[in-house]
Amino acid sequence: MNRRLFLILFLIVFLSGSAIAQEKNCEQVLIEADDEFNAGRFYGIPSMLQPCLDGGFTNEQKVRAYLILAQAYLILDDPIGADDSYLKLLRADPEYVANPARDPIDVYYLSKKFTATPVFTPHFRAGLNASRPWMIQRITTSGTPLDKKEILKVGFQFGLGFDWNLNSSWSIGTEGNFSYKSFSRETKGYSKNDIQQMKETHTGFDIPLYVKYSDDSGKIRPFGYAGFAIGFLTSANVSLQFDNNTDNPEVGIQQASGASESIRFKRNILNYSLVLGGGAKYKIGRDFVYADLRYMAGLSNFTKSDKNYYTENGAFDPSITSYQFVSDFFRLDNLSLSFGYIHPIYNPRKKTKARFNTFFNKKVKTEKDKS
Amino acid sequence: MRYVGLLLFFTLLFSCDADNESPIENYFVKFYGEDGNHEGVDFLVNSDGSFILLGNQKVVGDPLGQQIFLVKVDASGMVINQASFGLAGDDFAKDIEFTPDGNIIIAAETQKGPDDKDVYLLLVSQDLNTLLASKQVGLKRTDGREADEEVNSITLIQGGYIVSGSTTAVKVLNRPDDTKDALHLRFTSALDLVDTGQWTYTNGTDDSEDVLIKMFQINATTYYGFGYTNRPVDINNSRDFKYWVFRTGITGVASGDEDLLGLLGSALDDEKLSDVIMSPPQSGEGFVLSGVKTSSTGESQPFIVKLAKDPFAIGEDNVLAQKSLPVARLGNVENIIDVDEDLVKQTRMIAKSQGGYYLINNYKIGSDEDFNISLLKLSNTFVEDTPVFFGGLGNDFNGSVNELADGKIIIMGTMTLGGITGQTKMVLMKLNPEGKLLY
Repeated sequence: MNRRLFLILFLIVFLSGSAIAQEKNCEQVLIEADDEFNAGRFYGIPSMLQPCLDGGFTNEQKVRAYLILAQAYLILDDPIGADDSYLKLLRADPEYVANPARDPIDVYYLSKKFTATPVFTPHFRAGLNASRPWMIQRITTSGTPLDKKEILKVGFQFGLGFDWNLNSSWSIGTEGNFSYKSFSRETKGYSKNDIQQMKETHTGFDIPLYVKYSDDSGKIRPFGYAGFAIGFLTSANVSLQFDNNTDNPEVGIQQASGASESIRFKRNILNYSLVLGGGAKYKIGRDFVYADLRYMAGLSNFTKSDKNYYTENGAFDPSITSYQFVSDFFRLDNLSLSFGYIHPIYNPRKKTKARFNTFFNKKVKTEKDKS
Repeated sequence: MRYVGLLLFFTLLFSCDADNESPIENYFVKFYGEDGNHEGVDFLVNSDGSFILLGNQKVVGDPLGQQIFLVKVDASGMVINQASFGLAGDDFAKDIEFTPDGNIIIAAETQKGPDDKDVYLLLVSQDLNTLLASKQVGLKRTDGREADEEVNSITLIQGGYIVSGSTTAVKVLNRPDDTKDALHLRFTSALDLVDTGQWTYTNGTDDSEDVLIKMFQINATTYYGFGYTNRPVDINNSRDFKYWVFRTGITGVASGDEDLLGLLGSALDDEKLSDVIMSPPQSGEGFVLSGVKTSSTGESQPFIVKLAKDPFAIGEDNVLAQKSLPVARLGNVENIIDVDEDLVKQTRMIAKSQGGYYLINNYKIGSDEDFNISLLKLSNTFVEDTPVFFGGLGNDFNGSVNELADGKIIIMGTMTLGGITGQTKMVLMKLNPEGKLLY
């Protein structure tokens, strides 16, 4: 037993010692390669670094190694080798940005041919929202004006999305969000003193499509976006209460209320919104967490005009008499605050001239020229 | 520029969701009345699209009791003005008509005491702000006691009005079945009673319940009266209610009704008339009578009859059509407590501008169910369309129906709000020509 334990301990110590030794050796190799480069002996550098590049370098050491290689290949007039080395550098550290103050100028110019900007950036988001209906047409059963008060209710949403990055700042984003939205209203003045209380809840999916601008550097990176969203309603329910108040204390209050009822058949399943939003990303390692404040301005009427006064089977809706409830024609605006997590999928590559890039770069250039 | 175009395209695509089918002017359900119970009876349509609604209002604690309730609303159903009128004691609005000068005349009953209602007429300005004139008329029985008058309608005639109804001031006493005689009081435009000796009531055969629903002036010297009576129709003295038509001359004395007796209804059922309209040429000229037929088991359904333009033409088949309408049945409505039988068995008809008719009545399937309002479209020959129903959990009753120039249907009535035991309110519904709350 003791012998077996001793053997295990020996192996652990031996292997870790061996790894440390290899790391030290590769660090030594890197120093030597740097010395060779400074001494002008470029040809031997690739073969000197290759064993460690195959398995001995840490990520940081790989970056340094590929930087030496890229410089060496540039001097040796081997652009293919230089490109390959710089591409591998970016694979080792996709966020590496060549700096003319730190890096040789030829490497800086070489870096301009490459990008590691992620093509797609997936993210997860979840948060809370509040909705407010805006009247397209006020429809009531009252022959006299009513006093309506909207009451904000909190809902929630969560979902997945991804940004298609056009360049380091501009992207086109889309998401698939499940949302629970709720809004409530108290309406006074039916038959002078009667009060109707209504709470409507929606669940469904929002699929926004937007153009986003993000700051591409710094620990905290603000962003903003605008676009459209299509909503798919999966459920719509309403809870109603009607208080029949009279001036006469002998009669008192007669209250009618009932369980929440599905009114999805009275609602348009597809609806559209304008999306405006912004927030900030906070960098953690290569990933981000973010906070996003979004306003979705409803563009379409939720109410199906041909179902408004009827039950699902086409009968006169008893809610009209029980609660004096007929739905307005309304749009639904939604304000949400979401928190999310972004995991960029970096894709080091040589730059190509894309249509969108041209457009956005031109815009940026024009603005720079103006300033 | 291309991107601006794209942006515009998407903006239009997503934002053009404004609904042209505005319900505000085109179709609606509106309730009227503040605290208390309100009943919708009848309405008028002004040339500007506004409506004048007539009903009753009963507020708990009101020392005057039930009052006549008038509401003027615009074409979208929003209240322009409302007012209540009445005397001490309950008042019961029954009918409303325009006067030749554009004001409104209301026929009503006013309760003076137990089994003592009088005829009550009100002349009100179009804006409802002014009671221009009023008249209360009560008859006495031959034994000197106050009689009970029931009002069913008011008819504009040359130089005045005729109020149709019934009275317990029967002409001949000591006949056990002579409970009511048909009432047809004639008034001048200033609401003065005309020639009371002649224009008071028609006795039928002296030993029956005779009720007049409406009178029509046919020409300067001829009037037709439509009602119902339970006068005996055969030698066995069997009696049940049947539709009844008679005519009077300029003196108001009835004559010429015998040839129609026994024809307007079944000997097995009671037929009680509720409404009469003059059928225009596009629907086939004549008179259309609507009411409710009740079998001996209590089952009730609307019963309609079409009579020739001259229902008294000798040797002609003057009954053009008669039909029971099971699709709009009331079910068994006998022994219903807390609901006025006259209210339950009320029908109203209107001729359609494109030919045919609309009939509204109350509808009830099972004995446990509540009353709803039924709208039925009929052809000129009374072929029925599928009825449309309106109503909630409580009892809802029809009031009146009309058709606008654009074919839209207006229904007025009474609905119970806030559940089965809630308060009743006057309701006005504007529907499309199919009877739907749609554009």
